[in-house]
Amino acid sequence: MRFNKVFIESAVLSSPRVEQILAKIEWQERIEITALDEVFGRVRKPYFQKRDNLNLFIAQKKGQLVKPAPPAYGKSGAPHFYFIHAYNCIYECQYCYLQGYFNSPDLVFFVNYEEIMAEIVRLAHEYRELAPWFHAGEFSDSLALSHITQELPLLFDTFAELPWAQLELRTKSVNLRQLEKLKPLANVTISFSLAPAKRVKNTELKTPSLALRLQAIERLCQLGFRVGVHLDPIIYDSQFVGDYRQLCQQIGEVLPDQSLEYVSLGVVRFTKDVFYQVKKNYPDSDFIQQDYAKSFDGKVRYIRPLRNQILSYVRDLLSSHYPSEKIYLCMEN
Amino acid sequence: MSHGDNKELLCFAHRSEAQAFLAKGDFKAVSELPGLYEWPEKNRLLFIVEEGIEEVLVRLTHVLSRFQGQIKKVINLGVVGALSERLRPFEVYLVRTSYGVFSGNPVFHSWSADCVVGKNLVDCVSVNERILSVEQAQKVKPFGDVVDRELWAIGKVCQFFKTPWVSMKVVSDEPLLSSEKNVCELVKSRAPLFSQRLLEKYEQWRNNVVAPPPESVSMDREVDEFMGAEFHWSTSMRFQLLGFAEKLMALGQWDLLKTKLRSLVLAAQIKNPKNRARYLLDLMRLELNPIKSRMQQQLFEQKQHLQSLGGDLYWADDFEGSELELRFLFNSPEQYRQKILALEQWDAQKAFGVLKGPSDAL
Repeated sequence: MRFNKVFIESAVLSSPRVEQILAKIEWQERIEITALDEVFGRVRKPYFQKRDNLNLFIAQKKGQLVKPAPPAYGKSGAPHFYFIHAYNCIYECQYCYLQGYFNSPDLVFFVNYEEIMAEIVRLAHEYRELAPWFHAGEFSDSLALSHITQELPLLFDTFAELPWAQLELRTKSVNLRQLEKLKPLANVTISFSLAPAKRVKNTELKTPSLALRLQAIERLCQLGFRVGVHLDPIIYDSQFVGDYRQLCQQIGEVLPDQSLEYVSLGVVRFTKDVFYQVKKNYPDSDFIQQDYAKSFDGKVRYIRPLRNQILSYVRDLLSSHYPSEKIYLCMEN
Repeated sequence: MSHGDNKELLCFAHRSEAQAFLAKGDFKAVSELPGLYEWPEKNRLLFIVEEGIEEVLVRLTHVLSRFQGQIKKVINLGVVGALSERLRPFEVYLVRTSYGVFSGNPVFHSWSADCVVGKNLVDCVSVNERILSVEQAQKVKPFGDVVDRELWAIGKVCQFFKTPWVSMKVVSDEPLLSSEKNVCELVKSRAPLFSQRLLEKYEQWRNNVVAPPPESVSMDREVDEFMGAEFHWSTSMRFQLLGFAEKLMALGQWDLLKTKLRSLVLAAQIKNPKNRARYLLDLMRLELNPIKSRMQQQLFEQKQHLQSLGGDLYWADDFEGSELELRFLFNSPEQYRQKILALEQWDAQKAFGVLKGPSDAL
């Protein structure tokens, strides 16, 4: 992995994790900074410079280290939290809400894992009776750079001690190098975002193909990991019916019910600002030409009847492979 | 003075930086503004914007207003200090992005150069005060590779006038920390060499610039042709039409559909030109969102049925709600009973089914 500049916050300079990370990457220039927020996001860096002028920040996560997830996030009935170990992503999904979110496409790695873990442990005990969920991958891919950030062993050690709590690692990556060295845990789910092969190729730029993701799922199942699937965002097009029939069939072939934790379904949606960014960055994308409307929560979505039909169609397809209680809708009323 | 368009405007902070250009080209002073020169045969202007953000904001705005629509590109050339050790003195670099740090505070807005690609690009930070201490340099360094006093303002003015810009910067051989006197002396003493390097890079860049593709027919013109004399378009309808046409074009359906839709409308023999235009918009909407149009049609059939019973049916235009509004007026208990009886024959399930999503939607 090659970066243009690496910025290191003075507070983490002595952290052994910094050296571990630096040993795994290449860069042209190393700059020490006093505080992340004095530099990162202070000026608007063009989004497409993620392609040829990517910088890395290594810093300490401050403020609320673990946050409550928004409503309708994850399986219902349990409290959901997410924690942030990094900002931004090496992939370039055209619908991604990270476009313009931080005013910079540069990557940030937070290395104070121990503090983040301590907060997870505290919340896990506080919500022990409710079997809380903790999610990674809200602002970056959980696995794509895990061989560099190397936080997975610590996460697994932590959750081995919290059998009543659940951990979800969300990814589009097939980077299993770190996972393969770890012992699967019943309360850790590796969940893959999937879409039909053509959609992955045309819209989820620089991500592993559907075939590779399915292979990774199969491999993890063989190793005994719990696996989740996110069919999210579902984008409607003229091939939708056939493409999703095939996709659900392919998932059913590689992911046995006993390894599946859940499948979550969500139809494509944008905040107003993200919609504007997507239109600006990818004006020729087919899905941005579609007809959207402002929906119940102010987000831009397909009209409700179409969303209903899409979700009900995909749910029916999945129902022939998995019990319906394992299929849930994400961010839909 | 030539009044042709497609002019290039070369901008320098100091006359000494421009000396090689002035010596080589046939630039003539433009009397109305000191520091402005024109070489009419080459369609090229040269302007000494002077040093500092404020000077640029005033002087460049004046020139771009004066030549509004005639300047196709602004090219900034000048000497910069290096913030990065990887840059070599006397080397000329193309700027990718312009950032600003004023009085130690980064400015949120940045400006991107026009179509600059390749390796060896730099980001330039413009400052409003000279960098005279290590602390000042440290504050600026994270935001760019080189530091100058003008480019951010050039980018801002160009953004306002929607004029693309390019910047070429030659790296000074002096260390970053220079007293004010040293900087001026430096530019003066090394100026011939810096200017020559900039001229060489500019000529090389110019030879490599790929001619832009011939301008495609603008969407506005397409739509104007499409509207034709048989229709009447209000401003909001025209705006809608433009939006629909752009989407259809992006989907690659415009060329195929435009003739078909137009002839469909004319075949419908709608007399009122405004209604004709409205009908055309409806057809385009149908092409863009057949599912929504089909649902509207199905609910409209229900509405017509209820209207025949003396009532009416309403639903949310955006289909976000799951409610139907039924409206009946009664002027006697007898009429109430009649209408309730008639309503019992109405298939409400069908109407609600549409709101849930018609089964043939996908």
